[in-house]
Amino acid sequence: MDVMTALRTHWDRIAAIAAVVVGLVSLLLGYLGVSDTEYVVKQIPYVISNGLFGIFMLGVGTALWLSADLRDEWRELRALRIAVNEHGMTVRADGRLDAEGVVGR
Amino acid sequence: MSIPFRRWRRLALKAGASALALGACASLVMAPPAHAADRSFDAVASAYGINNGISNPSFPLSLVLTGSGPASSAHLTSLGGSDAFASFPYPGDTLVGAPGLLSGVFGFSFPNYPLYVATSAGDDPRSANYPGITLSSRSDALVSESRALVGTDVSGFDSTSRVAVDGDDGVTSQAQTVFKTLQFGNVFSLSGVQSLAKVVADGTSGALTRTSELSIGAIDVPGLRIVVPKQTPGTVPLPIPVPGVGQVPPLQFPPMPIPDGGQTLNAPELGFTDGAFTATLPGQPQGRRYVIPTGPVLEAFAAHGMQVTFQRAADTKHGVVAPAITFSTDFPAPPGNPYYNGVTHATYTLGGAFAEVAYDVVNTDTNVTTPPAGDAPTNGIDAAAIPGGASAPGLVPSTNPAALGQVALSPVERANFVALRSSTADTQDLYLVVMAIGIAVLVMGTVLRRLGVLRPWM
Repeated sequence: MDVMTALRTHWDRIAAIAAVVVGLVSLLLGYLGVSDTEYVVKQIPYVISNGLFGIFMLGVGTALWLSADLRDEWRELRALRIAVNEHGMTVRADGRLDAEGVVGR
Repeated sequence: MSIPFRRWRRLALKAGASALALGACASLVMAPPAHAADRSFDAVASAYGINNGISNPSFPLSLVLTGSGPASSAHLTSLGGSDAFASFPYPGDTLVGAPGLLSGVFGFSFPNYPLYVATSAGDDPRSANYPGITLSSRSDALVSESRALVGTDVSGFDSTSRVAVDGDDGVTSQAQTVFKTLQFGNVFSLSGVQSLAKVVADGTSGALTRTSELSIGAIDVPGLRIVVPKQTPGTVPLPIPVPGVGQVPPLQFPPMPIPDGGQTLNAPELGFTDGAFTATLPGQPQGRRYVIPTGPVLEAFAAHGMQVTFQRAADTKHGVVAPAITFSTDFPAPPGNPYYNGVTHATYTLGGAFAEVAYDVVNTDTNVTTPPAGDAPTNGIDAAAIPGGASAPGLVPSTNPAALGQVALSPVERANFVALRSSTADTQDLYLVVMAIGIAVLVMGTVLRRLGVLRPWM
């Protein structure tokens, strides 16, 4: 798999990693800003801007990663269904295989 | 397809673990240093221009009518508190707040005192312009300031108060009143009057630097005559500013002849600087001023029915009250009538600008508050500790400091300040919680992924 194919196929994982990195960097920069001054009025903007934005980006990264894993599962399921169909069977709504005259797995 | 996906998973797992480790390490590395110090401040600057007081036996309950102006005040705290006001004439907090109080009691909407502009944190800057009066106020997070100007910058008088956080996280509180010209009826006039109180708190040590001044550029008293002494005094009393310490014998000096001593100065060009009258002497370079004896000047004022007293600068625990000079006079009783009788006593106090910065440096290791270096061990304005309690040589007699109308932090304000500061969570700790939440989001996502998504396929 070349790089472009990997980027196209795993865009969600790459986006997840980028979001996590951005979130962590935002949190670190915010901490640097907060620790640079002792005045609450100066610290609050860092908490709101960097802190909450960092948490949001980490959440986005986590959701994207979970989405990528689910997409993998759907691909596996699709491959299985195709393989089953190729053997002249179908998958019923209750998950059981339905072959010619044979019901059940 | 499954093999590349697993490779990607492993790669992504490693990347995710690296990011987690990076975040954890950064949190440890960036933890507050062992000797970190927290700083808090509560600063006030107030300039009340000239304080007037009028009393008369006919006033009910021996009431003394007071007023001041141009008045300005600014207040700023490290907790985000910021407020300021400017007013002229300033009738006092009671009258300014009366409309709001009456509105609440009677349910009507009473108009606010118009010659008063105030702002608090979060407000936009405000200003008001009336014929001859300009009031402005601004309360930002790092600067709180106000100004009341009467007349123009060239010929009027104004009070300015400003509290600001400096670049080094120090705090500067400054109050100043300037009168370009001031006429007291047909008795005398003053020009170039300046009262300044300034306190600078160092951002590193918290040490306070106090500056105060009261100067009058020119005093014009019709008919004033001053005789220059022929020689310097042989003894000079030594003032002891420490309460409870007895007076020491006066210092002995050999009398020295004074140039041009013995001559009479008619209508000299008088000035006043921090308790001493000055004058230019004939035959001496222009602009050079000499301290002159106080007695003849006071006698000249007394000849016009005016008493003069002076209050030296007073250091408070966290600030300074600028020197003040008070002129008092008695207006003769009016012709007999059923409403208003007797002599009316009036006082006019110039100066007394006030600046204070309560700046604390807290060692986070022990949570012990260390008072800034150089602070006096007094609490609030201690009249007994004011050096002017005993008049120094050549100075105008001192007055009671309570007459200056000075404004310090009230006990309630101080209590709120202490309570808020001690109960406020350190924002650095709060931010560490925010970072922990972020890391927890990542960890929970990973756990959810392994248990809810990957495990069924293992």
